[in-house]
Amino acid sequence: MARKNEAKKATKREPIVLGIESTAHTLGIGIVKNGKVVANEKSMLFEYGIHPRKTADHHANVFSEVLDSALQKAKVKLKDIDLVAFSQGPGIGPCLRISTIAARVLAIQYDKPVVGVNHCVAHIEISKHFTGFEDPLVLYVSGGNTQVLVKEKGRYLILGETLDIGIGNMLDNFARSVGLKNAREVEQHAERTNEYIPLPYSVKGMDASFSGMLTQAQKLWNRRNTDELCYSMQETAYASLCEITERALALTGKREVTICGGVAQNRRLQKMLNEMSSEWNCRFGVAPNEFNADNGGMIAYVGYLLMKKGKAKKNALKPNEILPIPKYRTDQFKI
Amino acid sequence: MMMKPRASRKRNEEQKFNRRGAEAKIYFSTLFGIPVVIKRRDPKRYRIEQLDNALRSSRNRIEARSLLAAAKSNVAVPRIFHAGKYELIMERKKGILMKDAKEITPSEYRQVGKMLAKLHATGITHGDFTPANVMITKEGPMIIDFGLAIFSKDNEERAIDLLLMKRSIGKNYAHFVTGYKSLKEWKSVLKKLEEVEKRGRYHSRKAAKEEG
Repeated sequence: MARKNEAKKATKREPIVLGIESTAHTLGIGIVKNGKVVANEKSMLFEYGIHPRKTADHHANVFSEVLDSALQKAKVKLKDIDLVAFSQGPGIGPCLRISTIAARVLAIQYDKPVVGVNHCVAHIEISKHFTGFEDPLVLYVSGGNTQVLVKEKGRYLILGETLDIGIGNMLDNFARSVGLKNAREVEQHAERTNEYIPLPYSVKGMDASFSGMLTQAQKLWNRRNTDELCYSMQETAYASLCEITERALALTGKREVTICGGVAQNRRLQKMLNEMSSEWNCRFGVAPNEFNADNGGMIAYVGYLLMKKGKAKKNALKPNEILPIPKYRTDQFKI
Repeated sequence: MMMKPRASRKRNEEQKFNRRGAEAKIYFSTLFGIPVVIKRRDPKRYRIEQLDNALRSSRNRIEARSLLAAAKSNVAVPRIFHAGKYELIMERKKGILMKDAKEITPSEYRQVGKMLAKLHATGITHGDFTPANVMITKEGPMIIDFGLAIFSKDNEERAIDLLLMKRSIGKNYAHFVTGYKSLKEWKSVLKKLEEVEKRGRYHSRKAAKEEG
């Protein structure tokens, strides 16, 4: 009964959810109003990788600025917020602490209900929101995560994942060792050539491993052209990603495929997956880049989903329970 | 951004094959009256040709070689009649895949474990050892699809075979391992398995407990 009332009230008042994201290099604050992301502000500190303390300091310094501009953009006041959602994990401890403290302050000072959100699930849900897919096969690729997932019984089940390092981490690491800034530069260099250098290719069942190709590419630097190495890195790594996705597709028989996470912005990967999906007569879609990079909008959106399903009250955390979970598994979060 | 699939031509092709795996298409046919399976590795256009050809031909070659080696050491596998560059023709046996079987007896699980032990002792690791790749026939279980097999006696590769099966069969894994213990080096493989399991990302202690 109580749940029904809550749902009714919520639809009448157009629920407003504030989302705070700070798992890694980005501090993002998003506001979702009645199921739509109306503000998605962020500030990122990333040049040559992430320095945990410096990044956390950055997040703390810009917090109020980002919050103000998000509130301004959404044209809402802090007191109008119905629910605060924060990224609880997985992530880097010092960075996670910022969103946790912020959520705790809002809970105590403004007496708002607070829910913790799994960062990975938020990536998936926002991608489903923009593509309109109901039950897709998801390839989640970011700095620290590389996972193939499907939804089963209210959880995202991990079918396959990286056995060693995340794909984004691998590309960033490679970029630094050949004198480039980050994975984005690797993409630009890769577009300049189509000369392929064979690199170790490692797919084990539905899992992939990347450290072998990283080591080999680092060894080949100095002897081979950087552009060619970038091109070969991308081709080899993304082919193995496509292959594990294809294997999961063959196993599950899903009709929709989507990618999310920071590396999902890569156009070559999008193109390859689109090609693979069309060979299986599946639909392929991807969210706009703004929402594939870390952002607060997706955190707020999951908060909104919890609210819509009447789970917000049950999941609401007391101030003393608002703590980070740095090793939060994707399959631990129920939605 | 939405991208629509190009469907029309593909759909016609699809009707011809009997089964489609991620790796290859399976056609059921007969050769001189003997029922055979043709496993054809078609090009995958999403990856560049050089990589695609290398992967397809090397996997085809290794599959053929490992099937022959497995048969030599009396592991139940399909016999090969012909190996081309990108296709294999193998015998077709009647049976049901382990993943589709309604009931599998503990002794069958033990047999599967024993077969894997034999395969590992021969120096082959399967690479994709899941219930979708074990067939239950009248004469007992048979291992199929050596597309990701490699010739190796590395305990790490062996542990991954065990891991894939463990993830898929849950409780029955205990029966399976009983059979697997016929391998001489089983202790060190199981030890390696523990290590490999810990390696996945973000295993909190709680989650590990829930699973274990």
